[in-house]
Amino acid sequence: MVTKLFTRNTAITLFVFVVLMSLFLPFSLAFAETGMDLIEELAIFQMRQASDASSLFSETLYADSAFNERDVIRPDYYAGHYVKDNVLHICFTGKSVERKNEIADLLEDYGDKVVFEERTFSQSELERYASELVSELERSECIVYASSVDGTVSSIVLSVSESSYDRALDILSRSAQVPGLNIEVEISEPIQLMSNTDLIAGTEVISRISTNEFHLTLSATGTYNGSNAFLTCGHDVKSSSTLYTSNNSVLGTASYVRFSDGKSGDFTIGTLSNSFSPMHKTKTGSSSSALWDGYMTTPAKNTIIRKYGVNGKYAYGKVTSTNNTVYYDDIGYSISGLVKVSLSSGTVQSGDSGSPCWTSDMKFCGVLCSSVTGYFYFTPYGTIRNAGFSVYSQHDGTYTYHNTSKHKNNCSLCGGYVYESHSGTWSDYNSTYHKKYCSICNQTIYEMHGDYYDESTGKCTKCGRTGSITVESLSILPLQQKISQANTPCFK
Amino acid sequence: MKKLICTLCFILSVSMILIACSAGNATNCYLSKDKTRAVIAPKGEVIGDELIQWAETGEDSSEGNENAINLANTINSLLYETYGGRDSMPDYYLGNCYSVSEEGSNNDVKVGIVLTDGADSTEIKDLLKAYESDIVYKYVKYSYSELTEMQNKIIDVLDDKGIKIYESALSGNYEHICVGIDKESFDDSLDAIAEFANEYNITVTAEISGAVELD
Repeated sequence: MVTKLFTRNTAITLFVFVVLMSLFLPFSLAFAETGMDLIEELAIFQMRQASDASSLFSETLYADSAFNERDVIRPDYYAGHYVKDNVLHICFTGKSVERKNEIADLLEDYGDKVVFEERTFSQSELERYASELVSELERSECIVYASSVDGTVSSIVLSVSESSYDRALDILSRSAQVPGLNIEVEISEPIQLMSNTDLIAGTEVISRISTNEFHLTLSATGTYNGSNAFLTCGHDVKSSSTLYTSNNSVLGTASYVRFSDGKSGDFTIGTLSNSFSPMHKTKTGSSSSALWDGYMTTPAKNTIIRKYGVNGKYAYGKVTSTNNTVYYDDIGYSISGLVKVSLSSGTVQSGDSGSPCWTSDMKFCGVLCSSVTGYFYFTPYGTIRNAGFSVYSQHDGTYTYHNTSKHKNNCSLCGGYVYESHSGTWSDYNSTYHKKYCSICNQTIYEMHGDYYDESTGKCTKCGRTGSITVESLSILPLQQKISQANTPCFK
Repeated sequence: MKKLICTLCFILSVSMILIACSAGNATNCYLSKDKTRAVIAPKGEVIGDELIQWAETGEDSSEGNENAINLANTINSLLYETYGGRDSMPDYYLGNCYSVSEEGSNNDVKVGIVLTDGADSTEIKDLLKAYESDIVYKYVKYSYSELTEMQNKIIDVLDDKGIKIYESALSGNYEHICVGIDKESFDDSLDAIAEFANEYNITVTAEISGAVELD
């Protein structure tokens, strides 16, 4: 057994070492080239340490897990893991101490970048509980759309239809309580599989002019003249022509093409076919993607710009100048108003025209159009926006109440949920509760003083109430949820 | 007779050298040692050390640190949202650059707001009041429209003379314009650029560049 473990651990360590070397070396070279300062380099190094420790632990976890047709069955020692403030936190259950020690040895080199925490429930136990709860609710004809578990905070979240919500709360409040386990119920829409027709920037666009076929890259989606629209480069696109996706589906029609001699910018705004859903997501690698978080109209000199194109894939560099006029000798066109980027890493290839360009903090900032050895040029978003295109670069929708600490937003563009802490300030309500009003989700939230009462000072640390408080049972979380949902608290 | 011919040849050689020197002065050009970059200033204008350094190294001395870059982007966004685009911004506002205080280190980089000398710039200064401690105002000879007109004009001028030009840009400090020239045309372009620099009274930096390709 020991030999087997040693062999497996050695193999994993060697594998991770090779991966680390291959990941770290290009970064080191890139830093050397771009002249990033030591502090930035150190910050990235620290972040990578936690991330690398996490990868190594994930490999170990994978090796310790069992698999069947439907599920991954995690080992009973595992409750969850997460990275916070560049430190990997691994939650153990106290079972299989021997294995915990082996893992600690394996991660020894990461020092204080790895900490171990103890939890009561393993992830597998939580999944079993969740499954039992779902069955119980379904037996009572509740519509359950999803369940999720988070071993790091020992919680189960059950997503039910609006019509089933009250019944679910009632059933759960009557069922046997498990000390230390948080069960939350939330109202949800039916979960839909993301369609493969969702448009991610960085995918291929095909333009056909007479018998010629041009391969371009999708820059972004947004709105134009009140309709859903998309963006790509202006050259190699004919006004009013139809543009296609890589599998030959009609993407839409080129409504506005900007590419003419002496004019500023090189881009096409197309009206999006109804069979596609716009998104605020971009490819960042062959199998990775990320969401944009806003836009930048004109990046300043030295801003780091990233791009993803269908052929040259991911690359990045620094803005060297912001007002370039480029002369294309073969067609005799000069195009002004372009931003020039000096490439630090990666390449630009034919077919990358239209590539989305964005900043390090994920702000969409333009459409790539051309390149010369070591540099690429793009039309800044400010020019495109002035032509009437508004990019989808953020989650849409409004926030609704989620639980006593957070509200949530279900974005119709990416389907994702965004959770944010409630706004407002806590104030004393009565001897049992303090409350606050969140102006974002429009709810009054109540919490018990008992959870935050500091006996040494005789004070509630949340609302500052001094003097006597009434402590009620804390084991009825579903009821607490129910209380929080109402505008006035319901007292037993 | 032989002596006379020798004397005439000597006088002719000296004259040729003097003509060549005076022509050199007229172009007011600094050519880098590797002959890949040149700075061409109008007659009588002194070519500064920074431009000579650029010609020799290809490196721009105006690097910004992270704070300055973030502030420059914030100012760009503020001005864009206020005016709705570059075309609606005041003509006396050219853009921003990075400025290191003489006695300072890299941490003392400020954002330089470049304005046309002599213009009434109260409006933009009021708008940027909140950032006053982190910016410095710099003044240049031309307005934005004058400078961009020259930037676009030089492409036509050189193209008309059969010189292969691939790009033009405003310099980082908005004091001169930059051009990228095909390797084969580079030597021939210097006289034509000097003519342009004298006619428009503007310094031009030129470097050998490859053809920009549509991707």
